[in-house]
Amino acid sequence: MTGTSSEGARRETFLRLISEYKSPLQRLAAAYVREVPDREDVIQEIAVALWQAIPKFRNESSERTWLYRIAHNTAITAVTKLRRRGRSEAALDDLPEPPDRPSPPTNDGLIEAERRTWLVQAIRLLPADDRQIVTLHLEDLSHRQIQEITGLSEGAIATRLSRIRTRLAAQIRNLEVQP
Amino acid sequence: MTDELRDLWLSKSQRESGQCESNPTLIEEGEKMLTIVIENTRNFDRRIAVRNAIECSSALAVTVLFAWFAWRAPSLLERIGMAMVSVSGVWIGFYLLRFGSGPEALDPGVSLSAYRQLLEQAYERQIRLLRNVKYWYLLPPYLGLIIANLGLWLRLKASGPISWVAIADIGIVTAVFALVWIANETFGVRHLESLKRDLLTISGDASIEGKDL
Repeated sequence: MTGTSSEGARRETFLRLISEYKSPLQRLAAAYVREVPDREDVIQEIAVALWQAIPKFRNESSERTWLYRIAHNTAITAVTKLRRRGRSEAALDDLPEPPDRPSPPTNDGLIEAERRTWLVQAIRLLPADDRQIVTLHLEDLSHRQIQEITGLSEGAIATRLSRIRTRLAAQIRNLEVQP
Repeated sequence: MTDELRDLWLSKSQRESGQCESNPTLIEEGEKMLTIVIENTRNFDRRIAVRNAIECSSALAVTVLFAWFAWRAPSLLERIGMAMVSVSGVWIGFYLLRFGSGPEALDPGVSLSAYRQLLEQAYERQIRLLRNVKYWYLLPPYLGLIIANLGLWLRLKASGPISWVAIADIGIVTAVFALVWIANETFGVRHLESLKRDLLTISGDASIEGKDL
C-alpha cells in the first residue's frame, strides 16, 4: 500500500484491510472487553481510526504492524470510554463465532471452546501492556514486529513473554480445576 | 506451551481468515462498516464545526454588545470597563480557537508507548487550560465589569444618594465568576484527572494489575 489520496483507493484499502484483519481484530477486541456489543463498539472505533489513518500511511513500517498499532491504541481509548459509561461489566463471553460456521456439536469442539474461553479470560486478567504483548505474540508476530508496535526493546519483550507464559499457564490450570 | 496457546487463540476464527476476500458476506459487511465509518467521521467533523461556530459567535456577540455599551456609556470609567469586556470577547474567542479545541487528533499509527505519552500530554494540556481559566477566561471580562460598575457607582453617587444597585451588581458579578472558576478548577480538573488516570491504567501502567474489563 502506498500513501494514497484518492477516495477510491482509500475505500479499496479500507475494505481490503477490514476483510483481511477481521478475525485478528475480533480477537484483539475480545482481549480488551467481555461483552459482544462492547467488542463491536471497539471494532467500530478501530475502523474509524483506520479510515482516518489510511491517507497518512507512508510505508515506514509494514502494513501489519501499522494496523496493529492503530488497533491497540484505539482500543485503549475505546475501552476507556466504555468504562466511563459503566459498561463491560457483565459475564464473560466466548470469542465471537463466525455467523455462518457454528461450532460442531462434538466433545472436542466443546472442550476447545471452553479452553479458548479460559485463555481469553486469563489474557484479560493480565496488565494491559502484557496483554498487548501476548496477543501480538499469539497473532504470530515476531519479537521485532512487537518491538515496532509497542516501542519496547526485543529483550524486554522476550523477558515479559516468558513471565506471561508462566502466568497464563497457571491461570488456565486454575480455571480448569474450578468446578 | 506457546504453540498450544497460539493454536487455541487462533482456532476456528483463523480458518475463516484465509477466505475473506472471496467471501461475499464479508465484503458486504465491510461495505456496511465503511458506510457507518464515513457517517461517524462526518458527524464528528460536523460536531466540531458546530462547536467552533458557537464559540466564535458567542465571542463575537459579547464583543459587539459591549462595544455598543461602551459607545453609549455616559462616563469614562464605564466606557473603559465596557470596552475591556468587548476586547476580552475577542481575546477569549482567539484563545479558545488556538488552545481550547480539545485534544488534538492523535496519530494512532505511532507505537503504543509513544501513543500513551501523547495521550498523557493531551490530558495535561487540557488540565493546564482549565487551571488557568482564571487568567485567560475570567480575569479580563471581570476586570472590565468591575471598572464599569465602579463607574456606574461613582456616577450615581455624584447625582444623588448612594445606589446599592451598583454595589449589588459587583457582588453578583463576583459570585458568578467565582462559581465558574470553582466549577472549572475543581470539578473540571477533577474529571479530567480521573479520565487521565483511567486511560493510563487501561493503556498499561505496569504498576497496576490488569482488570477484566
